Amino acid sequence: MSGIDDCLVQAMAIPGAIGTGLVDYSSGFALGTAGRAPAEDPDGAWAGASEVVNTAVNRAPFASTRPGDRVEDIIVTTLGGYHIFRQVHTQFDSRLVLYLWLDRSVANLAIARRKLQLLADNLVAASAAVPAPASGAGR
Amino acid sequence: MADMDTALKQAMQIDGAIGVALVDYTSGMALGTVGGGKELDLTVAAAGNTDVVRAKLRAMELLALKETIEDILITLDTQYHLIRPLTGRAGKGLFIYLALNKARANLAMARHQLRSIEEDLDV
Amino acid sequence: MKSGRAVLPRRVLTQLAGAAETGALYVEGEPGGTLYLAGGLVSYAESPSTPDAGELLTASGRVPPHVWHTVVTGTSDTGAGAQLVAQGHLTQGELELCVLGALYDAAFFVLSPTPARVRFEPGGTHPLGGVCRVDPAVLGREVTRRRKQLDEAHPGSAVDSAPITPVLRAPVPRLALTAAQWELVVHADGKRTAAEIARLLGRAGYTTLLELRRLAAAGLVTVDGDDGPVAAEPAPAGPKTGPATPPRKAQIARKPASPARRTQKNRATEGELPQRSPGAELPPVEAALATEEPDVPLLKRIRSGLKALR
Repeated sequence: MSGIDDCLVQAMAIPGAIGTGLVDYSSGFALGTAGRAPAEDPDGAWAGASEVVNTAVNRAPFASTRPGDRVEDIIVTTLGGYHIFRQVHTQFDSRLVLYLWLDRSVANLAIARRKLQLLADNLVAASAAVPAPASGAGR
Repeated sequence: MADMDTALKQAMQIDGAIGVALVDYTSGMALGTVGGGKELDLTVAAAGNTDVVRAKLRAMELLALKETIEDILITLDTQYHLIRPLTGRAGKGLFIYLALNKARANLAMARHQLRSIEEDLDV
Repeated sequence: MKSGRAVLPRRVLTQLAGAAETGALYVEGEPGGTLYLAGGLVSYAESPSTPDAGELLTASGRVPPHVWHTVVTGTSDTGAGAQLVAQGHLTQGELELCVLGALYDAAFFVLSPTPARVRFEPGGTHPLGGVCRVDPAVLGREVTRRRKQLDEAHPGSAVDSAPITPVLRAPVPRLALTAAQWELVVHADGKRTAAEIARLLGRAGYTTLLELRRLAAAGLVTVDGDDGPVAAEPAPAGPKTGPATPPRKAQIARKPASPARRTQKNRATEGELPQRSPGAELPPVEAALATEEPDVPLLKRIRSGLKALR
């Protein structure tokens, strides 16, 4: 049993987590949220988060010419925080990211990033569908 | 202080660098680009696509990230794209866009080097 | 409960939610659809304008069609989602994401701002009605936001319902399209509407509309009628007659003939889901379309031919 709410609860348990959300970056709508939204107007915040992802995925100044080279995640580093946008790849049609806002003074970015990847993968059983990504700092 | 051409060439010396651009987000124009090659398509020059970078910065405003953005890292399966806004007064509205081959790059090192290049850049 | 006259579906939903009703709200009209309520909260929605959860799952190959059919028809009440997870066909996360996505997507079309005839069937349930609960007020706000977003992308709503034609000569020397936009342009053939393309590809209806509006804004797709209301003219020698009044441009009575429209009952149980994955060979939609939809390119050629004779 690992639904959306469970996933968000676990994301908030990552050290340094301030806010999290599962966002449809096509419509700019958050299907679920926990903690604080990254702006005072939550609707604007999720629309903004979606814009960041859309731009990175579809309209970056440079695009990889390698077929199937997908965006895994986007990390925005500010003075006080990290904003991680992790793509959730479902087999059925969707455009989803798992977003996590971290307090930079508390968080360990590398660990938080791996945990978020695991959460996103477990949510849709990506590890069962495709071989685990051979990413890695640890290799 | 280094001028733009020197800075872009320096950025291309970073391990794994495959392309670098200096982009003006108020106009959406690339002021200068180096590299590219067969691994990259420089889309910022494509017609009808000049609002790309503005969209990104507008989104940042929407996100109301009141704090200054240090950098943005986009991780693809085989590449890193590192975006760093210029901090100097003259560089307001500009940022460096660096694309790296993931297999050949040392990310921590690249971030550090790009930061020095940016701080030293005189536009 | 049944309304003889047309009412705003959203207003009816608010009333039903206020009374904490459980049942199915059928909305007629174009495109219409069904909202399922449980204790005043929305538990599922479907509309002919967008693939439902079953179509999303089977069109993508995530769940084999026969499995889907067996589970949905073999489960009483609202337990189909739980069954799919219990039998290991989906994770709970996938189920929730898929059903929520389909629900918001369909609600966008069902809660259209035009009055429609509605019918409420107390106690009516959907096999996937046990997966989530959405506050109708939240749903209503989101529908409004999305409508605004569509108009910001491109104010012309003609592409929402009319057959989509790709522009054969690009308006600029160089184009940059996203993969999703490319897929839409490739499948626009002058006959299929946005809804038909969405369901053919197993892609969300709202996103399809949004991308088509963007493509229209960029001048890459058009609806027939932008260069004259051809298709609204009565088809020569056809059994159907055209509208009595001359059709006005951009407001043509060329509603999608919706051959793929189903009756308002549970379509999840009908077992007529598409069985392809995106990119595979296309099913012969044209055959179904030909029965009601005028052949627009043909009509255009005829018109040009007639003009040339004069």
